[in-house]
Amino acid sequence: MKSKTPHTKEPFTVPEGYFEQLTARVMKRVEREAARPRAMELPHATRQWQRAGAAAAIVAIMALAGYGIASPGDDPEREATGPHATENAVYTVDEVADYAMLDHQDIYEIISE
Amino acid sequence: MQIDEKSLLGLLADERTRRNAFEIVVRQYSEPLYRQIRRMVLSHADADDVLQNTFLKAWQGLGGFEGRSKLSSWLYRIAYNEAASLIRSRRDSLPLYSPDGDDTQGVASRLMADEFFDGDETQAQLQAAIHALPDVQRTVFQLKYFEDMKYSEISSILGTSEGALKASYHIAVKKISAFFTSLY
Repeated sequence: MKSKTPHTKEPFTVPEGYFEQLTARVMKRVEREAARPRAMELPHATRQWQRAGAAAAIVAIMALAGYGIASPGDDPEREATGPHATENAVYTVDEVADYAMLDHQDIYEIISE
Repeated sequence: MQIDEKSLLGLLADERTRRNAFEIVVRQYSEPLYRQIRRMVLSHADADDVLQNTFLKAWQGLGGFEGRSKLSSWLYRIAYNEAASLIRSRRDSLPLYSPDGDDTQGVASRLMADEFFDGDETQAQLQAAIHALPDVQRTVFQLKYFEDMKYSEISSILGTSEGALKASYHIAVKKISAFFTSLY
């Protein structure tokens, strides 16, 4: 049997007793979450090694990125027109569409003016 | 019995009363949050998942909530983000309700076949037309039209200016009207 969601002009319904049972279900999950052990505190020396390792990894990544940017043979024009660029352009239009509250047709019309 | 937000915040801030206070929050806000989520994701099963995740995120984020916005606005914002995240994750799959503007008729048909949808075909078409709007436009329309929420509160939920929201609502109304004009 179904119950209508009250105080609404909308036609959505829920299973019988849904809201009555919901609180207990949610609180069970909350209690499981609250009972989870906190992350263990590592000994001081281990944390120092961890930090050193993380710092080395960051330096290595920056060095590789710098090499990638500066390396000859990169074709910025190809980067801008390759498949990844198209994928990124579509993702950016999606973001703009969402945050500008316009759909894709609105944006394309604006761009083409 | 409803408890006012100020009292609830006081109870939530105290570790001794936090759990019981949160249970009251769940009881008090589950229906309005469910309605907002359900409008976005359309299926009851998805709405149930998102609603539970919303409350879990709220519980986890209680420590960071400083009370600068209303508790209800904060909860609505979490719910909106969770629902929008689910919708985005479905973009590349074949879900029951795909946010695809070209598939409005498909969405309406699936709604009519949904055991937890009690409306007629016109209501199904309306929901499908709303579902085809961009995320923020859709949310503004739903909160304004179905909840009669003030622009100031919608602004607090979405972090968008009232002027932009008014423009967005106007555009949404025009699109939905145009959709129905094309049908009949």
